[in-house]
Amino acid sequence: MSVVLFIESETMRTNDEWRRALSGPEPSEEALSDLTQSLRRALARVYRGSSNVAEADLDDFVQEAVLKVLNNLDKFRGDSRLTSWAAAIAIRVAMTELRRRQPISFDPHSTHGLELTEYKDPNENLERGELLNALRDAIDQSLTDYQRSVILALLDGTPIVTVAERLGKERNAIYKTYHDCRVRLKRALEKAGYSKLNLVTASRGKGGKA
Amino acid sequence: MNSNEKLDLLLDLVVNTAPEEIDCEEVMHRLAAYVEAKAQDSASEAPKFAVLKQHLEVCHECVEELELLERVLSAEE
Repeated sequence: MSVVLFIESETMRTNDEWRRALSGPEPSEEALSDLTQSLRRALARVYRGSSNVAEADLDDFVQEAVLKVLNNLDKFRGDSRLTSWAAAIAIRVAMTELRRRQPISFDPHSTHGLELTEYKDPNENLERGELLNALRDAIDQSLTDYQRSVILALLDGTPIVTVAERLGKERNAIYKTYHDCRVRLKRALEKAGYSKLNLVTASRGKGGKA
Repeated sequence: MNSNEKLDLLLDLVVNTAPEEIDCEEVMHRLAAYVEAKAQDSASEAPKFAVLKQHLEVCHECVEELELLERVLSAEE
């Protein structure tokens, strides 16, 4: 894969030149204009022809992304082109809004939905079935109601941003809960006798208790 | 996705869990360097990308954004 020089001549700055131009209380108007155009081109490449993204949406995404770039300049490590890093931010801004718009029925108080019905592995992998039963038990015993509702929502495909908003949390707080859940479940399975090695093996369909 | 399929997915996510993980915000800041490194082939295997790649194993939203960024930065065939 070759990296395209989608940055036109007006944005041919080094990272240091970008930083200097965008830093401070009064960023360079020329640099802001170039950044705006660069991000507009980036998002247009992704969403051109998309029925759920209007031109006005693109303008809004770009405007928000430029602000986010300015507010996060200190987080730029300089290990990529600044415009590539800014494009990643613009994509996050756009995707967050588009995910937010998805019609999702999410009940933050629901903790049901992971009941294991009769497990029939296509390869008759009984040990994986045993492991899944252990996982279901671990969900019941190791997670709080709040943690169960978060993990269920995410498994249902509810976007993190939606879960966060419905629960009145920040996105990163939901990710932390998601991580805490998985750590707890992994520990519970290991405590139940499923070694780390066998967990990996089982996940590939071969199964096995220590 | 039925209940068993969700448990199946969760098991894989649990297996791929690391004791310490970076969050989606941090991934966003590191993604461009990874995509540019991938474009140069072997550089993306560098140890500095290990935690980013681990996050991508358990977060489909960041994978989605990675694919979009690759589309932005890559030449159309």
